[in-house]
Amino acid sequence: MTVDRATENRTQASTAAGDQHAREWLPLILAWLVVLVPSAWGVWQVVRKSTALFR
Amino acid sequence: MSLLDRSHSVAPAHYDRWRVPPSALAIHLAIGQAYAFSVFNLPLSRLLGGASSAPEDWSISQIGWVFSTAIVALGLSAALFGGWLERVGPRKAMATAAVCFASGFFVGAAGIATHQFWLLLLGYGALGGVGLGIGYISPVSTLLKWFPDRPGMATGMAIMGFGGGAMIASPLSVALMAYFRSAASSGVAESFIALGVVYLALMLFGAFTVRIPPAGWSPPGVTERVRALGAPPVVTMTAREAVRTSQFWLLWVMLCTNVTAGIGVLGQASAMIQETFPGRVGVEAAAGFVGILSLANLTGRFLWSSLSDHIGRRATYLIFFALGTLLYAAIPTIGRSGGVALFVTAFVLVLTMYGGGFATIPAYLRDLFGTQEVGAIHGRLLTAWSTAGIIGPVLVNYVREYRIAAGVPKSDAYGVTMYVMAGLLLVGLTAAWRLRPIATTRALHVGSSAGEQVA
Repeated sequence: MTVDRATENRTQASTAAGDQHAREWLPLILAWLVVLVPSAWGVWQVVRKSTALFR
Repeated sequence: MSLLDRSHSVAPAHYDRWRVPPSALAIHLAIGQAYAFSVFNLPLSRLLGGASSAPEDWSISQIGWVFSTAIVALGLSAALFGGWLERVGPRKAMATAAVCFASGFFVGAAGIATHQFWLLLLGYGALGGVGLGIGYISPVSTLLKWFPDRPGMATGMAIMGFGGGAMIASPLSVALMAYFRSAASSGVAESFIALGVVYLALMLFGAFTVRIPPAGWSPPGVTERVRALGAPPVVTMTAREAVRTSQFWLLWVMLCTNVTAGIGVLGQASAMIQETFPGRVGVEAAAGFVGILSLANLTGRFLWSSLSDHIGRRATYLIFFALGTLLYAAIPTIGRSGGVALFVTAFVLVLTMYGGGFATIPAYLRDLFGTQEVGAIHGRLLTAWSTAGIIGPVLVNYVREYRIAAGVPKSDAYGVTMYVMAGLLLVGLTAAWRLRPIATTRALHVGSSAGEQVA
């Protein structure tokens, strides 16, 4: 029983740490995606057009 | 409107500062649209005629005034509202910029729909230009406060977004006009409304996610790193005090000459490469050349400003102006030699330095005058951009037309322009050479008279 409770505590601590980790990283990743996705699309459009110079 | 108040945007303790650059980038990616305005030139000149311009249609040169007005309004509003930005904080300033910039599109759309030029000029030009000015300086000032250890990289990141904005806006605008085009409409007014909505959303995302560091905040290990850089800001000046220094005006000359040279080339790049290499470079390849220059402008903003954190701001500008002078002076010879690859390489280098010049200026201002009112000082300095926005294209067009009228072949018409640009960069080089940090005695005097901390 004691061993089970210790395992449960460890699991809860691990989940809490995981949640904390996600809470910190998710907004960071989402914020960067908002600006990086359209930027990458814009750069790709330019690169596609630029290849004409080397044809 | 308390949500927009400065106090609501103060970051909590242990806030990850890397969450701030996306807010800054969102604003600059939106307002960077201004540099893609030329995609509307042709459609705007055929609103009544349809396939071709009718006599009552607006002329291309008339439409050119819309962009010029926006750039002049950018400089003036940045100069006028820079102090206000520092007082109210970046969130309110960014939200105001979002409303002004988007309203510019909406009022402009009304002008297009009713074919009232003054409404387009007032909307996109004046109102949108105010959004440009406030939007340009707000994120830069904020990032400088979050990244005291890497000011060049921080400002480079934000101002790189301005270059990237044009890359997104150009194909997006073309796609929107194609989508909204119908028998009854050219699709330009509808595209303006769609762009206004998209940019309002993107800029408000930036406004509501931006944070300012709490008072006394500094990133871990920053003191050692700033000391290692060897160039901590020695003084904190107000904008009013800064504009009374020779350093401010030397920077003004540096920005103005660098931008004049760059704008002059960017606006003419397509025609220039086609006329320099007739029969070898066609319209499609020339468009590719313009695309490569845009990429060079974009990457230069980040790379040069980041490099300036390591080699120093003065050395960076000395490289810009010395190398730029040599390249501009060599371009006519390179063009005559017939080497397209060398010609493109020279322009790529020139454009990286043009972008770098823009992006490194705020970090230089921070080095010289501190961060307390850097937004306001930056705003006043941007009048150099407005001035260059008028001088650059006029200089290039006038010299080219004068040469062609004098019987010079089109392929050689740009030679003198390049030499004029090289001369301008020499003026910039002299200013960069003469620029020294504020003397300690003056710094102490100014700092103490303003009741501010002198580090």
